[in-house]
Amino acid sequence: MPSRRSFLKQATMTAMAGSFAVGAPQFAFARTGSGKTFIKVFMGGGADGLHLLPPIGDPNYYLVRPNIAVRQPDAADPSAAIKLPGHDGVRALNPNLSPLMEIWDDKNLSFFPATGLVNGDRSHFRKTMMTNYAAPKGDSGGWIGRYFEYASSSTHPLRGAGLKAGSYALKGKKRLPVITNPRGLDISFPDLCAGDGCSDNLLTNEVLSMIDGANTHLSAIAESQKLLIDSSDIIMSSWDAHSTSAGGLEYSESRLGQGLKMAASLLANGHPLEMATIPWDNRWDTHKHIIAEGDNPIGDQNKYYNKNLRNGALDLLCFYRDLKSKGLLDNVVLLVATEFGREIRENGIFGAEHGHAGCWFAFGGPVKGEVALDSALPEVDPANPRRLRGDDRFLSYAMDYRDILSEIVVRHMGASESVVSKVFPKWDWTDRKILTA
Amino acid sequence: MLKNLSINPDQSSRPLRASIIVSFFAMITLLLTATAAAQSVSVDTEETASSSVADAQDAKTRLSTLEKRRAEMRANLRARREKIRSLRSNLRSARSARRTPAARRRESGNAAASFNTPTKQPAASRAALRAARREAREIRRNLRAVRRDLRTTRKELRAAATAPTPAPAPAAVAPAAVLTKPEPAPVPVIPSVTSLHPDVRIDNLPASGDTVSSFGHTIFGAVKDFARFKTVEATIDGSRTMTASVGDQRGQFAVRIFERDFEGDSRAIVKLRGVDAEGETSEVSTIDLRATDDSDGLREALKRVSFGGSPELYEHVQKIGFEKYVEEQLALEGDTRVRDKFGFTDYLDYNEVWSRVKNHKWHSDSVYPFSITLNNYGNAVFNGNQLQQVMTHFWANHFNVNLKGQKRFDVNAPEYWNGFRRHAFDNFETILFHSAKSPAMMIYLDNEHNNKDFVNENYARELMELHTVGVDGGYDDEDLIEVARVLTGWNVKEHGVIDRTDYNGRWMKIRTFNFDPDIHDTDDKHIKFLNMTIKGRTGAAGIQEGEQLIKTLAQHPKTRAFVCSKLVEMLVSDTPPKRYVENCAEAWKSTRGEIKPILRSILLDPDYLEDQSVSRVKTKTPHEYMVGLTRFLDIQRKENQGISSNDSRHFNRNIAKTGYDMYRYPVPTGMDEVSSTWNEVGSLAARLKWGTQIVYEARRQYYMTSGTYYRARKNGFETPEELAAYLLDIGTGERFTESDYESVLKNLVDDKGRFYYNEDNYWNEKKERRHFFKAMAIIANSPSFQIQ
Repeated sequence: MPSRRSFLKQATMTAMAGSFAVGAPQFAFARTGSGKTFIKVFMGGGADGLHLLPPIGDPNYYLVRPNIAVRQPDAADPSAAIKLPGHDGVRALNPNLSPLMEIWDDKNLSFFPATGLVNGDRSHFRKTMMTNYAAPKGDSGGWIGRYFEYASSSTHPLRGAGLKAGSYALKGKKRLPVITNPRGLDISFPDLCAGDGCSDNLLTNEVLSMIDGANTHLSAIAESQKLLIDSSDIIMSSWDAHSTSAGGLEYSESRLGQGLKMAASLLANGHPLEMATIPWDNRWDTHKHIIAEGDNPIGDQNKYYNKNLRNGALDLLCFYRDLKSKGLLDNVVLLVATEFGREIRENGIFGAEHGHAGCWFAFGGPVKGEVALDSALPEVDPANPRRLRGDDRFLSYAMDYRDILSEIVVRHMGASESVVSKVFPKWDWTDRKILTA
Repeated sequence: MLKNLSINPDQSSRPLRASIIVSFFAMITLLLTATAAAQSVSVDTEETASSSVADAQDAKTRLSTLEKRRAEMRANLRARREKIRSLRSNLRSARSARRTPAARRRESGNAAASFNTPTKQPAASRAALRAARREAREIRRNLRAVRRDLRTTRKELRAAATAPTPAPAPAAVAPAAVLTKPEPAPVPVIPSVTSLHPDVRIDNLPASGDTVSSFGHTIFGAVKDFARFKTVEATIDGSRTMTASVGDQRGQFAVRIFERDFEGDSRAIVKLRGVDAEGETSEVSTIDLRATDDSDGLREALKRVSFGGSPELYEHVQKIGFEKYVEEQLALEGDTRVRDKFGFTDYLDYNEVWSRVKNHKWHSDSVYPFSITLNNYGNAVFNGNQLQQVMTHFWANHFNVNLKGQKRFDVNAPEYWNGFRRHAFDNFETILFHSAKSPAMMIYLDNEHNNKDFVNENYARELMELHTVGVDGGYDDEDLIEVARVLTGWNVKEHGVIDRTDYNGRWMKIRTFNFDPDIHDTDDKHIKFLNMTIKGRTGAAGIQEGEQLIKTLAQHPKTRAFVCSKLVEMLVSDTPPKRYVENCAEAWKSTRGEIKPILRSILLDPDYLEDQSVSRVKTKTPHEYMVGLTRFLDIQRKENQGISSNDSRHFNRNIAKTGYDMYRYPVPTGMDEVSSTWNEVGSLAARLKWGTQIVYEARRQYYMTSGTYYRARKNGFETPEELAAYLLDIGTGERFTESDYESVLKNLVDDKGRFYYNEDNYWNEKKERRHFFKAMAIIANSPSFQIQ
């Protein structure tokens, strides 16, 4: 009798073979739920929005950031910003994000340069938690948790997942797996089984039988272990079957790259992943040295910050191309978020303290392709540009991030509008029309 | 210890084996060795019946008196504490007065107005304080005695209620006015039907009136005519029947009774008889087991105050009692012989670290953090002062720094951990200062860049949000900046080079905490939420501003609430019961942050051992799991080394794979104390995978070996049932399910059902080893092993 795993492997192989035959993916599992996917990428630490998408048209920007500002676009200067056609002279792109220009040119990339959770909080942990809970009180879990409670009927073990790391957003009544390593979920052990390739599944079967016999005290842990075994086969078989087709690009070994690859492999193999969270590092908390020393402060790839930004952009591009080549782009929206932006002025050691609005961006088939809802820097006294008091230190919010998420839930995921108030309690959605659909 | 428990199979004597069982199943105390030789015994019901009614009344009267006395003594203790507090404040003012000549003059001029005590000298105040403390100690001791009496009386009452007796007449009950609680309806007592026949001997029969755990109970015994009866058949409550094998050397067997057998009436009547090949049976021994839920909170409590129990530890705590054990731990009087034998020390110094790791050139990262991992892991596994290790991890995690990429303080890193171990039971203020004045923290949270021209808020923010008052501490942005200004100039000084390089040929520098008056902001600071103004000071005195601030923060009510709730999260439940947090905060308040009374207020709470609502509610963190597994396997290097630096690197790297990275956790929050965080699929998968790996490394014996394997061999088990119950018992603290037991049992025998034990034959010993470690791996993967 074939083992569960070999059966699943076969099923995926058949699916792949089928895809070659008819030119479209065949699904080993019936898709349940919306058939659409939302992926949230999180830049932990408070990424500096004014550095990612510098407001080159604003003279105040160069007053408050004499050392760390990104220079005006100049094709010959590797540290200069990159022109965003259609937004000339207003905002430009950090040169390390240049791989994203391909998506911008396809009109599938939007920037939200002044968004986030609208309040005055500047603590990493509270803001990250509140942004992901998206509810006045954290008791009711995270917003993705509530999405699966109210808006999705899917029961697939991988309908929602934290890829590479967990997120507060995933907390909820229905347990969602966090997968740090696609092969890491396999608990079988070579010394503890018999047959070809551990085909007797001894340990897995024993754990399953112990899970069946678990009493109420053990229900939480047993539920996790069950989910682990269920997800393990699916994720491993899709991972093994996945081949990246991104015009020569490959996913990097970073958490972002591997997370995106996991998402792509699940989608390409027809698994109904509806919502996933992926971390893009925790190292965006630039209290100091956001730029490299020398005359190439932003282009210098020996600087970790620059390299990290560049590699991440390449991973995002790889994911974009991968989905596009597999015809899945229209089903996917990916949103890059952070907990807050940073102060508009630089501090004494080439960094900036915690601020308010940050720059988020999204791409995917239904994304319009624009710089949506900017807000201007506060007025700065040219004689004394560092003397900023109170809210003058911060970029103000042009919109709350829940407008973006609400629109994604309704317009992209296909939930009814009445669900918005359940997924985002005590929130009135203002339609910003950021998606085409 | 191993020697004492060893048994020579050739001269196997029954009492010796029984004593082993007693050692390991310490909760089941009374052993009826003599009974085994006697004729059929049935428990006398009538005598106990009449005497227990009188006992009950007597006990109730005693109970009420004792409760009254306890209330009095508590009041007394409160008064005494009040006195200590006032005496202490006198002493403090006396001390501060002595410091300046002006104050001394003031004192001589107007002494009576300044002080309440007749003598103004600190020495006299000190003496008074000492006396008061002595008195308080005395009262506490008495109070403990009263509490002990109360417990025994309550126990007697319970025993009387379960003793066989006709329902007592209402008049016989003690007057209601004396009792604080209304008397529960009298429980009809069912007489015991235990009767033993020498054909089937029982080795661990509970004494009359004693209960067993409702989670299950293992009956150990032996069949007299084991040459004929190859199996033993157990019928439970006349319905469920199961069989267990009988040993061919001494006729030993084990029968496991499960939770479901106690359902309904909390009682299981087990009939045991031998069955031979023809289906003929021996005479029957009947055992009447009564179960209670709260019979064994000790094992669970031990899993929280230590990194996992061992048979010796259960035995020890059972003997001296939990309260004494906690006191022993707080006094650092735990058994440290194993730790010493393996050369782990409480406090690492640079030279020792160097001598330990200098030959390990293959490490891609710094040698220093790495040596800390070894010493911390070694201490967590082998140090008898387990509570100290638990608290060391708690503090190091509360004041988390990330060692990754921080080459600048790795040479100081051992000192950072040393401090938390040294001050584990000290005052919170001391611990807070240890972190605040450490190069590690100053570098990690950028306070070295905090100066009067460019305020860096990073450390100031986390000092309040994570170390003291918590995120809801009530401060705002302006407070934050004021606090950051107070801390300007707190930074790090470099002390040239020490006389060696690391493996990269890099000179290593020692750094110490430093206060730089030149970059300190000397204006006054107004901190609204503390309602205080810190006067700006110039020169070296500028550091006093920060000290004043930190002292205030250490005693802030929000700090008490925040740190207490984290402590209770770790020691009690993920959702901290309010009462424990309040008691902790109260103890903090009255002792100004002394950790010992704080821990006592939580651990010695009368309900700590028995409260079912906080029982089995915590998943082990990956670190607790790994250290617990190491202790369960009793992993040792062959060369009398404990574990090597390579092992600890290996272990810690594997723990880090679960997301629980003690030394390289990138955010200053530290790892979550809420255990459900570690019940995520990815984290769980990583721990299970590496848990299995470690079991198998112990099996292969290339590097390390399992003490538990040899101990189990020496215990002389003859049947898989005995071994399964033994392993699960020490692994899960006797909290395992029927399916755990069956999975383990199934894998202890080969596919023909043969059990290999104490095999001298090389090939059979290999088989024995294979089955043993298979079972260990299954236990390490079982749901029961994942929770505390």
